[in-house]
Amino acid sequence: MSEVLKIDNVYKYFGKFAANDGVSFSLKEGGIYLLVGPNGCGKSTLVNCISGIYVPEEGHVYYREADITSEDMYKIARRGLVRTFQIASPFLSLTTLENMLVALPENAGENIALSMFKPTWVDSEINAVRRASELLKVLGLRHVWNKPANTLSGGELKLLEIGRALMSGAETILLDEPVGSIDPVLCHQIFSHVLRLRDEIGITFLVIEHRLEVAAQYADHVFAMDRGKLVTEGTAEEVFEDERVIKAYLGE
Amino acid sequence: MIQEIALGLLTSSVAVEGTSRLIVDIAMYFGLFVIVAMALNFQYGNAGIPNMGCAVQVIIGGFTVSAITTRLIFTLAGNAGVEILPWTSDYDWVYNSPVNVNIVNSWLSGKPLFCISMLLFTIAINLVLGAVIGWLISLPAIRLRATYLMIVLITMADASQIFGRNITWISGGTLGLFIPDIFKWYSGDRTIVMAIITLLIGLISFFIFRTMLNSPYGRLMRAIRENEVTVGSVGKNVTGIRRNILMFASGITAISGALIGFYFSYVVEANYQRALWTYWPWLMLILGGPGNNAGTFLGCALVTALRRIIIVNKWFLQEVFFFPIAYFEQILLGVLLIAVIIFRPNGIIPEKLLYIPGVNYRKLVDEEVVVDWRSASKSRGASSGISGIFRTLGGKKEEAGD
Ligand SMILES: Nc1ncnc2c1ncn2[C@@H]1O[C@H](COP(=O)(O)OP(=O)(O)OP(=O)(O)O)[C@@H](O)[C@H]1O
Ligand SMILES: [Mg+2]
Repeated sequence: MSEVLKIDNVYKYFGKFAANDGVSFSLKEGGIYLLVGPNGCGKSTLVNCISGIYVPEEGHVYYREADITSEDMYKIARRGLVRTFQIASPFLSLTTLENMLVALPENAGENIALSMFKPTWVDSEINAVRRASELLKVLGLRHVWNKPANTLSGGELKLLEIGRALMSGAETILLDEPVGSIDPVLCHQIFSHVLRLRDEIGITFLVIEHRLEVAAQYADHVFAMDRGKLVTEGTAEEVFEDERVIKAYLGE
Repeated sequence: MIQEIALGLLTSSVAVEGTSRLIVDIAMYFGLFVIVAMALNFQYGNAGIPNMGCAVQVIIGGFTVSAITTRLIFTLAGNAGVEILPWTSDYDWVYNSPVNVNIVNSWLSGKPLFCISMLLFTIAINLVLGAVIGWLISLPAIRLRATYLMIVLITMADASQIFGRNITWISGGTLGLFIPDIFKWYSGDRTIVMAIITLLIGLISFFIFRTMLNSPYGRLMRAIRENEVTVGSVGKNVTGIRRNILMFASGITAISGALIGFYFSYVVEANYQRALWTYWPWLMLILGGPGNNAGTFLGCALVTALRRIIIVNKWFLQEVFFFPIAYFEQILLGVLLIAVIIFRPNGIIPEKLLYIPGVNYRKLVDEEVVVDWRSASKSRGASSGISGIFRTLGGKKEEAGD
């Protein structure tokens, strides 16, 4: 298994406060990785650094050997490294289907000049709709395809986040709390989607979640963070038993 | 009334009067403003860029007519042996302009083809220079959001007027500049031809904008308006798309600035004030319904008609009103803007959720398994720019070859 994503000693400061204080780890192709840590330990900040929303002050991020540390967000996404948002960020007034369609990387009708000439893009639009509709079916969202995103429930929005990342042709997906505030049933559904996507199309996942017990059974490998630093890593059991992790969650 | 206009057009000698005159006038202004309002709907209503600098996009059209088309016509006339007064120095440029234009006009009167090609040439230059202005606007538009961007763009529009006022060779400074009448070949009432051509151009640009907004590109614009970070997170270059939008809209908007220059046969920076070319189009858009094409059209028609009727009938209105109504339409602009924002913020016809017309989404969604969702779409990359066209067309060819 080859290395897909490598984070090398990343520092991200807000003023003097180091939200990421020298984080290093790497992900192998086709793995499901879990990133745990208490609130405010810098998990989302790390994802922002990887996906290009922030540029880390120090350190490097490599995706498939290419240095993407200070690359624009959209260029990173085009490489196939796509993230979702902790607070679901759909296009509120667009429908579920349209939300999916916007994410498709190559749609002829999204060219400013071609958009004037419908025959040039109508086929690619039809293909896009078919693809989106299949993905919605896989994720169990097809019944809400025609609802504007601002009327979807929290759970549906979380699924839509994943759907949008898939629609964009991602090969590695960073899921920022995909099951935050989700009921246990949907939680396990979402994780089984993750498993299925990994098994069937080999997508690599980095999943952020701070409730270890929920996600542990699905992860191949767990990273634990505390106060901007990676404290330990290993299998779920190893991390579970590590006293530094216990201390981080339960206090001294 | 209609017969009168038709008659006027046919007999080519009767000047329209009274109500018919008003209708021609409204048609002319509607043609001009539907361009600006639709471009604004494109930029603000859909892409969410609060462009308070419409006036700068319009003024570049006026400047094109005065600084480029007029010079070109003078040069060509001079080469053709027409004896015109010296015009190359700044002083001559301004003070000889009425005489020169008069001389050139009689030369132009026998050359309809030449005149039409001058009009087309101006439009082409407008598209180019307008795009340059759009690119300039995109520089702050990429960094700044809402309020600050609005302030920068208002300032840009005012600055462009100051350029016009102080740089004589552009549009004759404060005195303005007469420009050749490219409708001299028409012996009847030229305003009718002007109005028809303007209306035509206005309607064409309306349909172009409408087609673009009813396409995946329009959807992409609305997505950027809703959440630009998300658009970026799936690999779309928001900065580039914004720049394209501004360049395209500016290019089209500039045409209306050129047309009004031709209409008046005169260009002066004072004709391109932001009240007229920014705030009125904003009222049209907000009144009609931002994001809605039909709404923009309706808003533009209503506001233009109202404004022109007031302006044309001020003499009569003054007798009815007890207060001086010199600035009545400006007062109305302010009152209407405030009233619309308070009572009907979404406009007369609010934006409605719309799928692209002509594609049956429900049928496509209900269809049984057609594509394998597992096959990721591997071809990543921009399709927003000019290069995207070649990629798309090239891609088509490859498929055909297979
Ligand atoms: N833009 C910012 N400006 C200043 N401080 C920030 C900023 N973003 C994050 N922080 C701080 O950095 C720390 C890490 O934030 P981050 O969002 O990465 O936490 P997290 O691990 O994702 O927490 P949670 O589990 O609650 O989502 C927090 O203390 C937060 O207050
Ligand atoms: Mg977080």
